[in-house]
Amino acid sequence: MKRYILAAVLTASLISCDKYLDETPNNALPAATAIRDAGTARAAINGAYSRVQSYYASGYPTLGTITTDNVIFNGTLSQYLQLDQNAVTPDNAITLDVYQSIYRAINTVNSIIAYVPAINDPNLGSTEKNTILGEAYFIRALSYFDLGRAWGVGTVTTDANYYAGWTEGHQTQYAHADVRSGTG
Amino acid sequence: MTQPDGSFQLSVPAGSTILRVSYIGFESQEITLNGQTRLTIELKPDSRQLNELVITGYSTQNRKDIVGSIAKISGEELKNVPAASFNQLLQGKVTGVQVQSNSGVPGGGITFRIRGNNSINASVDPLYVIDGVFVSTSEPIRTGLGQQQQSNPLADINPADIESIQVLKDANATAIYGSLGANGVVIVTTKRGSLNSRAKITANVSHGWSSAIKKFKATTGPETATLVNEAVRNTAQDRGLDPTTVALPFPNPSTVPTYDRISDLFRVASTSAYDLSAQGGTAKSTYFAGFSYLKQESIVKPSDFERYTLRFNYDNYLTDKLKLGNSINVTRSFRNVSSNDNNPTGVINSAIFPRSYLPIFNEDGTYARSGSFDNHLALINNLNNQAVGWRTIGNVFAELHILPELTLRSSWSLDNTDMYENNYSNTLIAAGIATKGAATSFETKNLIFTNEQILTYIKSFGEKHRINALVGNTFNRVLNESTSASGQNFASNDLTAISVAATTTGSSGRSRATLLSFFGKASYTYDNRFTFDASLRADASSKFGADRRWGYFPSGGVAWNASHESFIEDLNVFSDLKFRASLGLSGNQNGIGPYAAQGLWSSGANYLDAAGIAPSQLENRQLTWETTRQVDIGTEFSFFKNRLSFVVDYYNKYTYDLLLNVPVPSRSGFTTYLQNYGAVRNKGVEFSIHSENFAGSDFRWSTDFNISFNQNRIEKLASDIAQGASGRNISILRQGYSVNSFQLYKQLYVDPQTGNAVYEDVNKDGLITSADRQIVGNALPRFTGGLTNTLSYKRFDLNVLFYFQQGNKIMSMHDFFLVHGGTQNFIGFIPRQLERWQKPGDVTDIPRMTTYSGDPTVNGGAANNYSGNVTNQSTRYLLDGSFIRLRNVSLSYTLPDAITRRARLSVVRAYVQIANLLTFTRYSGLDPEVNSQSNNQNTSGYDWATVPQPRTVQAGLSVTL
Repeated sequence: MKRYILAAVLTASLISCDKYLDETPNNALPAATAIRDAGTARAAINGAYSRVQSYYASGYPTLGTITTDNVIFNGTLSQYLQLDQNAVTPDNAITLDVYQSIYRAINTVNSIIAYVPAINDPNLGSTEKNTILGEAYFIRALSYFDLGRAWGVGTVTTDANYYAGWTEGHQTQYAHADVRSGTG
Repeated sequence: MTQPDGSFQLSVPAGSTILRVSYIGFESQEITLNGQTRLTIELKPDSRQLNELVITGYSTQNRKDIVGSIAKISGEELKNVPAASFNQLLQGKVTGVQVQSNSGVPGGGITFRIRGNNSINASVDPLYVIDGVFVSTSEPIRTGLGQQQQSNPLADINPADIESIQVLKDANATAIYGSLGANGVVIVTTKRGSLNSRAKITANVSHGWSSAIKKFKATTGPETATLVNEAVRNTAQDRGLDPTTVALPFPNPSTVPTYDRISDLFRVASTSAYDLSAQGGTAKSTYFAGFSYLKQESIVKPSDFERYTLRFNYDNYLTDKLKLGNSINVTRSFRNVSSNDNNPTGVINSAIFPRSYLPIFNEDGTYARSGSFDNHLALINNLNNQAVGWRTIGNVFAELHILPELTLRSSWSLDNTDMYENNYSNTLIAAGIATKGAATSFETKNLIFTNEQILTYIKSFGEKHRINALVGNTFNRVLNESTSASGQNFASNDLTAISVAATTTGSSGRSRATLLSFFGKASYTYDNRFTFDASLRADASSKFGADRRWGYFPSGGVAWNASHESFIEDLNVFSDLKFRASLGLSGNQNGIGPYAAQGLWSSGANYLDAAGIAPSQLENRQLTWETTRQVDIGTEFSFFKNRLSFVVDYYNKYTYDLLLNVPVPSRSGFTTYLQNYGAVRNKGVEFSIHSENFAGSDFRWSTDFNISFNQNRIEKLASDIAQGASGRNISILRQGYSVNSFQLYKQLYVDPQTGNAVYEDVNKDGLITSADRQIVGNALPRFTGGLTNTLSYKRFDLNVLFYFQQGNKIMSMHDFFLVHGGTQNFIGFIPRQLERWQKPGDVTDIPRMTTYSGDPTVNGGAANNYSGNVTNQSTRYLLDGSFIRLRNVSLSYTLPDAITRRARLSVVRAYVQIANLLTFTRYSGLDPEVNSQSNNQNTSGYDWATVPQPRTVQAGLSVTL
């Protein structure tokens, strides 16, 4: 009898319990289904605006003002010192942060432009859908424009695959195209 | 089989004459049988082998049969040093273990590494197992403390409850713990009673006083004024103006007042500890119950730490085959939390940074402030940050002896931490001025639930063959829940609850991770000479990509007890000679997020109060275990009947498939991508000696010496990762160098003619640019070690512990900020600035004071003294952190038995101990044992307005009934 109990216990503990290994967060959505209905579409465009706000709130204006002679920096943080003294290193924290934030905004709107048209939700009428898409195109244009203003050249990406080495001229052209799509 | 009460029944063949009785840890006895039918046999403990039972990953084995590298510390050795947490007490006692206090804050974080840093982004903490419970080492306190780790989660255990600690270091020992075992395992066993023993009641009382060994220094008012004047004059000169025409900010420096802020910071801090425990057992059960209270103040106002612990360990033999037991520890901790380190509005920062000629109070009596700093007295008097923790570590187990050699054990464990924090900043301190009072409240729960089943088979076949095998499984679940709330705008400083604030916000979150494991181990010993050991473990973690959750971690080892060979015994030199070698794999998944492999869009990207989501994490279905492959070759030998023994180990650890946040091109919309990429190697040698110098009846003297060398090198990394020092990126990880490397501009000398600093031009282009920034040292010591001497004469005992480490560098942000050459209008100076170059012919390493920033690329130009391209990131602030410290001196006196017996007591012991009595170091800061930015394992080695460790004198009394 003992031997059977033993066998049962061992087998029970050896049965694959893979279902215990599937954990999901309660404050994030799986990327594959992040934009699938009216609610998530609206949340996504809000997220895009939030991304634009994140570089406009402090970083982008700082790049434009501390580097001029109207303002001098009198503190200890080297990332501001470098900008003030025009001795910017490749890993300057402000420059990196703005560059990365602009591309985060571009990445968010690329996903909106790719997935929102395919949404089949009665709560999302075609007017609202087009408004969302229009705002997304505009945000993309603004991001590339700001990238071009600050860096001159950059890389244009419209989806997960990216193309390399566009010049400033091409970038502005592309931004114009997006603005036209956005307002159309 | 022997009953728990010792009675047995034995059938012996007719005609046999000798009965041989033996047991591990006891001397064997041979009894001649003369036809008796009743025998009482009492075995004497074998003192030579008393410590030979070693706990190794789920089973106990004779030390002789161990093929891995395992160190054992008994609870007795831990009671000599006054510290709140047991992992701190291991400093200098175990080879291969590097323990460092991050600061002198009681209950504060410590850095604990076994054989170096294995990882870059995954955790490098070892696995702590306390009575079979996998305990949490994640930080429950969320109040930001200037990037300093807020607490030591192991401070919730009372060190006096500990019976022994085993540290498992190599692959063979840790592979059975596969997951998390890659960084080493610390197994803690707490005290339990023994059968049929009368109650032993022990009470401990002690009180201690701590004070600072060195205090911060600031230049006086007149000195500061002189320096400021000099900076203005020199800057004018650099600009090409006539310095005599410049108006000096202080026409008369000698009349400038001096205000002392630093003496307000420190106090003589007191520590009190009370302990009460009872230990004993009946014929069928054993128990240990303990209660303790500890209160420790910090030498820098106003923080302190208070702790209550309650422990109950109870084992009961329900039948002679079934044993049920539990170990429960409940701790309640109170911390007054104060932020220093990298927080400009922290207490220490507000005392050392403002210029000493600035008054502490305004004319109207209110607190004065300057720059981004707060007023230190306002903080000391008004800080109200409480962290209250409630922790339960409990285990319930059942052990069934199915057969004498076959045991089944089922164990259920829980480690639950609940931390409640309430912080209130009133209108008298900087954090609360702008918002008319600010309050934050955090509630955090960390729960680890573990269930294990283990089937053990231990059998000896005759004299020559011994087998020790086991199979088992583990189910482990980690749950984190957190809620936070904050409020602003309070009607009065007396109203502190967030519920009455005008504006309130809140958030909450939850995460969960699961671990499933199956493992088996077998060890075969032949003729007490050769041992072969093999184990295999399979683990799956919910954190990893759906395609690669399972990891397999095998290991194997051999040991040869050469001292049992006849040709070695004939030599009559060695009382013990053993060679061992092991090789194995262990895995790590600790420290990455519970959903690290999933592609996620996160909420929280809100805009104008409308909910927003945005991409936050790239999916990696291939994310899997970070694996460490370790080779260990060791030898243990002793002479003179084990009076002089040595242990030597060589190890080589290669950690690959690092869980690494690999930088990716920003145009992807992400900055990093968590992948298995990269490799780190740690190799080293460990050496320890134990010597019983004298073992007389009145006088005994023994010495323990250990030294460990570790060399760490990043073997593969996709690209440099620079971080630390608030965006200055002074810490760097680069392939070919060790972790915790510092990158700075190497200062060669200060030109005695011009007074300007000259740096090494690495790329030889004649300019100083960011390309000339190079790796100039790292925060890891080349070797660490300890020397312990224990002497006893009659009833006196003396224990002396020295701890030493050599080769680590410290980046003194203290000097970086306070030797600024005049470039900071709101920051004062330290006396080191007074060593600056003043006239041609001066030889010093502190360059000429100036705020000139023109021509930043000129090497030897004025701009690079304190700003320019160098931005003051010069090697003159990178100091040698090597030291030897008399960590503990402890003298005790045990009352003679005659006196104690008359009072019906069994032992009365009085003791005095002094911690950190002497420190020998070249480091000019307050404490060479410092780690200010400890909440990131890759930014070690900074000294940044940190509370130093104090010198403590403690006196106590211990009474046993």
